[in-house]
Amino acid sequence: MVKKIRVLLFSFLSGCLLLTGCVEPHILDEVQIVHATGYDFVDEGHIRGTISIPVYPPDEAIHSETLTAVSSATREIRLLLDAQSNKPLHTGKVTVVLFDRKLAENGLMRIIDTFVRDPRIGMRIQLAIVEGSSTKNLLETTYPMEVDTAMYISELIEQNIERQNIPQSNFHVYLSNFYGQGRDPFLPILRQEGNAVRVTGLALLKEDRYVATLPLKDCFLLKILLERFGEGSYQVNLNQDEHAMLRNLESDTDWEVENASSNPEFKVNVSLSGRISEYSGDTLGDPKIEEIRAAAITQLEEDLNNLIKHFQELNVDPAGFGDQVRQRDPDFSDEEWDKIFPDVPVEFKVNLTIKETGIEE
Amino acid sequence: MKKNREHSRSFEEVLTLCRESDDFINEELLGKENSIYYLSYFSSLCDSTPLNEFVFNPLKKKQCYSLEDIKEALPLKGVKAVSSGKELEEGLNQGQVLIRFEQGEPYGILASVRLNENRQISIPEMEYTVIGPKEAFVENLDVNLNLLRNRLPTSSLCVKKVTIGTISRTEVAVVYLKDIANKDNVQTMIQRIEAIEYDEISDTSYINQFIEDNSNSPFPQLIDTERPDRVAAQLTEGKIAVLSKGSPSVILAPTTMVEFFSAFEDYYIPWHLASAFRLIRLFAVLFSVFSTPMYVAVLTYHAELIPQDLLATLIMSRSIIPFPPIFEAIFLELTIELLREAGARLPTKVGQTIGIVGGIVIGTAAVEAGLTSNVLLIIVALAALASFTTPIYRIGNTIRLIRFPFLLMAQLWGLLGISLLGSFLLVHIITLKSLGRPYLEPVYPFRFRDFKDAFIRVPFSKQYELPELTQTAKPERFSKKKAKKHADIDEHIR
Repeated sequence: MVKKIRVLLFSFLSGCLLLTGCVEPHILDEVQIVHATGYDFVDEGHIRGTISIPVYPPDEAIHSETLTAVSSATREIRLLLDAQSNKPLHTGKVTVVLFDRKLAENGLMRIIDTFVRDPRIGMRIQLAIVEGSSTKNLLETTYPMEVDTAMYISELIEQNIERQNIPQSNFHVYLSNFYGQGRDPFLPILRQEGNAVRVTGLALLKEDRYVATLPLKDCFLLKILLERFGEGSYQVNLNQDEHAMLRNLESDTDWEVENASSNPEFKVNVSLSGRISEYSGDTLGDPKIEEIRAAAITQLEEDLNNLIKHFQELNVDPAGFGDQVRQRDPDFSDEEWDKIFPDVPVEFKVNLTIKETGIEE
Repeated sequence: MKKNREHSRSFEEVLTLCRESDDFINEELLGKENSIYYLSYFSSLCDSTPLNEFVFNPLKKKQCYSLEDIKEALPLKGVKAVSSGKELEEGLNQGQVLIRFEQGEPYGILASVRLNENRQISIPEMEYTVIGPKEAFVENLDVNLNLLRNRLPTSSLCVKKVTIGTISRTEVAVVYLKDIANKDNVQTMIQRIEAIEYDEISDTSYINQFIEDNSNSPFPQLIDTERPDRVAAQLTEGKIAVLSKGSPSVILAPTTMVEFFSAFEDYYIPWHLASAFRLIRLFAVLFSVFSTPMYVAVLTYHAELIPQDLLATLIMSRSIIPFPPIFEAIFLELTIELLREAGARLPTKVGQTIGIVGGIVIGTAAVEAGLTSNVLLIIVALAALASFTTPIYRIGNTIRLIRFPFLLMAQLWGLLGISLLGSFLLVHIITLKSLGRPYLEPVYPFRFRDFKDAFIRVPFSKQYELPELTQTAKPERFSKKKAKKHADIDEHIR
């Protein structure tokens, strides 16, 4: 018995020593941690990859540096980037991956594929599309609001998701929209403006290709369709120079689908509660609030109808209408849905509760 | 071996052997009417005042013709005739004086005039509590038993004495409450103590190592305490206490792992506070064991686990350090161990200085010299601090020790290594027993009843059942039904 234990113990310990060769250590300060990556379209066969890496000089402030390489495959870009770095590149802390709009028009999946396969890449990283300039320019610029460029961009996107109009979006959401049946992915769009970066809206994608842009103010409409709780702002126009700003606190969307398996018809009941955060007029009395409420409902219904018409014209489905059908129809197929979606009748009914109007003297 | 011990020396051989020592006194005493007594004793073991008062004086005043007469003449208890060498040897070595009529006689009278040199009962040092009694056990067995009997004035308090150690002849007392303690537990304990084969037993810690269920485990399986209140309280839960001559610490068994983290003060403060502190202590232990290995594992293998905001701090603190995290960690851990060891060996006042020198000077200097990162310094110092929160000193040692294998595994396999060794350790703890009772109880085996005084301590009014661990002869401390509500003052406040 004792002998058996000894043999076991010995083999275990020697196994330990032999197997250690298989695990590759990445000591934190001996790797170059990549914080952001950007991909630009060069020509049909070539992509330019840019990485943003933070540099920590001993007695100076932290700043970001970029490395760039052009190649036909993303893996080769990695090789060329490694060739420029004094320490091995570590992709575990990538927080944001950016794509040039031109590249997005040509399809993203061949690039994203490397990220899907890498177990070091977290599912909560942000993907975004850059318009107006190349991702290289965007990453090379130093922004005064934050020393680390990647942190600035990822925090910017996250802030817009949590508190503003952009619906929940990250690598995981993108993949589930891409692979999930009956929905199409969307990604935030960034534009560099001087010393700052601005979120200009959402890029609507069909499969993995850019189709159209949804402006920031319409993102609110998509957000209330997708999420239960969400913050966002919506402007209600009463007449030409009288308008109110509505901030959403809570929304609940109830989907009713009739004839899911043959000719789907949608009745979407959107219940919203919000507060008036801004009003251009003088005082807000009860009748005025009621007027704003009525106007907001009409406007919302109209806007939602326009939004879905826009989606149907483009034949993209970021709100997941197809997914609602799929939940009710076991024979759902993406190909079928693509054919019928442009003509599906959708009726919106908005229910709005105004909870607060702010402090007034 | 055993035969040798059984074979005892003859009466005369004992005396001859004793005469070789210079503190062995043989003197003649002239009594009344020219009667002569021969007295033999160890001057170092006998108290001269009672020797003069109760032996010399009565013998001088009275004439004795027989040993019976001497027996009657001495106003002492336990005076007895002796004729065997074994009895004589024992008696002389316990501070008794041998009285004979003739020098060569192989029989005489033994009278006890033992000199008791004791330390005063003092404040507990290892298990100090702010609230509660301030007495601790001392090295004298009788005093210790006295402390216990004072706390438990009941005739069911049983003391069974066993003598062990071929040379030291150490008296060991097994104490339990007859109507509560499980008979098997008592039997096992006595058997285990009787089975000890050793020449000299210095302390209960020796006994502890002999009777532990698994003496190769780094985990202590029996509690040792210096607090009489703790022992008394545990006895009422059906546990068994082992006291030994010359030892201020008392062994308590059976016990569970969680009990090592419960300070006795937990019973003197309100239950919710006590529970919170106990949980903090348990957290501290986990932190102490895992923090440094986690640091090494994460910095060596899992950079992606570090939050973005912490990344800059960690990289900046490590940027000028030439060593990999493992050397840095071992260097600091060993420094702390050295400080602790030095502090424990030195006199109190010097020890404090060492603490300050070590903590402030070495720590700061090591960071400034670029040998360690300040983040790790904080982690290691906190881990060391956390390991000292354990109320029972013995488990603190274990916690400090098992950190090192974890460090090694963290270096070899990262977090996988930590979890692997963690599982090994867990399996080991599960198999451990304390006096044959499960060590990880109430977690494994799961016993809901014993959770009331494990990770948290529920109020006394809810602790009417005795713990399942000890398998007590009596199921309850008090009957829940009988405990009636008091008619209190109920003043209506408007």
